[in-house]
Amino acid sequence: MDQKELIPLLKKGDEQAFKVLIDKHQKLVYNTVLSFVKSEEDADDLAQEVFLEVFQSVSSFRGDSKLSTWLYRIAVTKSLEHIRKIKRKKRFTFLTGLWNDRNELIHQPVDWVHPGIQLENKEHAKALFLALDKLPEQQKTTFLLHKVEGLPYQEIANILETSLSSVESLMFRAKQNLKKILKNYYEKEL
Amino acid sequence: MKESDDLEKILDSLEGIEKAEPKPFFKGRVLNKLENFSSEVAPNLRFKIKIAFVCSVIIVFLNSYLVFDISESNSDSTEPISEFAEDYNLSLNTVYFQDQEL
Repeated sequence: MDQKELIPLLKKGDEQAFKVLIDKHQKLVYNTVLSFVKSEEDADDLAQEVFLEVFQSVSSFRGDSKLSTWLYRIAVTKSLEHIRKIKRKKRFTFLTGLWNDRNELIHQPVDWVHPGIQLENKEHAKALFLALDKLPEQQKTTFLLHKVEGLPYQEIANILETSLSSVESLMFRAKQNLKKILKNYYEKEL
Repeated sequence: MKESDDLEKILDSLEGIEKAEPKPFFKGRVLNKLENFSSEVAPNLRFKIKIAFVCSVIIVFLNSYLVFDISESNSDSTEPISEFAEDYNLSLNTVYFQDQEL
């Protein structure tokens, strides 16, 4: 079933079409979300939320872009919202911790490695994922979509609803900033 | 030179990354969530419609009451004043004649 057949059925609320959509795109959604949130449990919950969002808002999907582009967009937005929520929670816990001892631990893995990384690259990838957290959202998104999802710049431009030259510039700045961050990190380590 | 090579290696460490597999029964969990979500939303929507209806009835009632009350109070607002003026001989003519008599 291709996009042209699938979308009208999804708009009608066809359960079978929704099952096809999940079967076809669950890996895409899960992997996108996973590289942002760096936790298998959170990624599983968020990926489910992405599909619920799709089900709710499919009526507003005009079909101007590819279905996968739209899914990537929702997955990225949800992931960034999740990260912002964790950061807010962390700040709040820190502030409340100043007044009382009951300090809830917020789970944020420090040395997380994507399960699909090659064994020989694990140590480097660990440092890279740590450094990625320090990048601005747009740069981080561009880098992850290109390097983890293997998307071409034009597709990233469609997802972020920006121009090709902006994506090229974001990627260039992301690399420059990552180099600075990693250099500082290794200088401190040595 | 070596340092920049190392940094490049780190940046390229995601090359050849393989796709991670979602946990088993992912589809089932999404469909289950969707079912719960739909059954939660339907009564919620009905409740919201009821609330909106009751609120609009209250607003219409209050508005019509206020409009009715204001128009009624405007219509007899001059009567008591003129009656009061007559009772105490406060009309302009009376005052003028009394001044002349003095």
